[in-house]
Amino acid sequence: MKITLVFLSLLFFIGCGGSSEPPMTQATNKKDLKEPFYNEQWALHYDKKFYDDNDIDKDAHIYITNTFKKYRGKGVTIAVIDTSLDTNHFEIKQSIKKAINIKDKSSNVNCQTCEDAYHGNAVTGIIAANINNKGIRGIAPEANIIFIKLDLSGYVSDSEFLDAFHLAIENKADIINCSWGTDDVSDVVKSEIERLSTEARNGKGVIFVFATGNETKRITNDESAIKSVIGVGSSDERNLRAVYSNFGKGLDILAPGGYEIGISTIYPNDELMTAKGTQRFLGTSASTPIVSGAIALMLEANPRLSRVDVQNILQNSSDKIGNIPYEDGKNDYYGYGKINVDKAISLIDNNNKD
Amino acid sequence: MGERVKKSIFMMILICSSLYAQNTNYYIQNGEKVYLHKISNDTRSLQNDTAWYQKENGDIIGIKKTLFVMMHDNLDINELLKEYNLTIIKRYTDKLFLLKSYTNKTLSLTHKINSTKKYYAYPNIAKKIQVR
Repeated sequence: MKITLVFLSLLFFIGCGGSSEPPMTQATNKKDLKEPFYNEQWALHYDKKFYDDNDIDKDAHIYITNTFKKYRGKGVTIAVIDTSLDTNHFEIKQSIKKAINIKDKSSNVNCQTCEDAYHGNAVTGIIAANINNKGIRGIAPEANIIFIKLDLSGYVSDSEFLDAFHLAIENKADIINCSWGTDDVSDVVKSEIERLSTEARNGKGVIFVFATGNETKRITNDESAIKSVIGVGSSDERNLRAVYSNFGKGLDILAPGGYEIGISTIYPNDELMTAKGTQRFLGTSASTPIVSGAIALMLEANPRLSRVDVQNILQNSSDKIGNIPYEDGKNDYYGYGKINVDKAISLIDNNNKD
Repeated sequence: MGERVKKSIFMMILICSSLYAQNTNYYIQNGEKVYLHKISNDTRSLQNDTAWYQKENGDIIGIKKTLFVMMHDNLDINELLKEYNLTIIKRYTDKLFLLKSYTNKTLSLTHKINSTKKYYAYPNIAKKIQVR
């Protein structure tokens, strides 16, 4: 309660009534300007030409440009549990610290013939695309990535889920990104997620970030609905909830997932998926790594933050977008609102000064 | 609708419910029984470490020949292993184990273990999931 009150007071001083920051017309880091597709990364920043050309609401991005001046995810480890990864991709190879295939525990996680093989690449690229002036910018380009391959196109057993989570913890993950879900989480998996969210990271709790799904339906017995999990839905170019994004009590926060325009990221074999390319990455799978990357920046700002601290900060710094009233800061369609990274980091930095 | 037809429907419902009540093909989730119907003619059945079932909502799941057991305090796992002919595959924590069962009736085994009230047993379920 005390922590919440401190955050609320801080919010008052930095201005909590929606998106008070004026649209930025320039990237804040000269290096970023040289990423050839940075102007298309509408989810991250306001680019007047791209926004005007594509009729994007000026507040549709996540307000992260000030944070990019200071933080890149250094010292933070994110486990990405997903389908497949081209670990030699030029945008991410510097960030991949370990790759594990859950089937045989080998480091072979690249399966280009697998169904949805692109998916693991797309998710990882949003978090980790390096600053190299060759393509796009990831949200936490200096974070360590542990990639764990699950056969998400087939049947996965509860023991494989637990193996993946435990491998992430053994490899010192601070955050576990899961851009998938079952709608049918078993009691034993639920109980272990809750335990790890409390006991891992030396008692601070590992931070599970799950996608809520894209079926325009109420979230039921899903991983994203577990109380200690951050359930992520999608916002669109209009800065409203994307119509496909699932809703309900399990939804905590929104991040851009797009509707007609995709979220720029990587594709196997050194290729990119750009916002308006022939293949586009859309949905809550794209929104989830945006939140995971942002949390990595928060943990770089203050590595002592617990999972509960992170949840409180996100709740108190999110922008209350949309036209549906929020009760006690939340509603079923927007959760606590859309992530605002600069506000979240301001809360942490101001608290660090105290 | 005639009185006899109504009576017959009522009897059928009664018989079906009583058959369902005796069905041991279920597991407990969120405190409620999830009933399962075994699928025999399915290519997935070729995997001999998994039995395949259909849930009431139509979803297909696999029940592996392994099970989770959560120990209550001050209990010895070896007693359980001996009594039910189980071996340890993995120890996740001091209290949570993945065990191998040598019976084809894994669901019944979990019910039997749970009925002792000393351990909490849960089947290892394989399910289809979707990237989002």
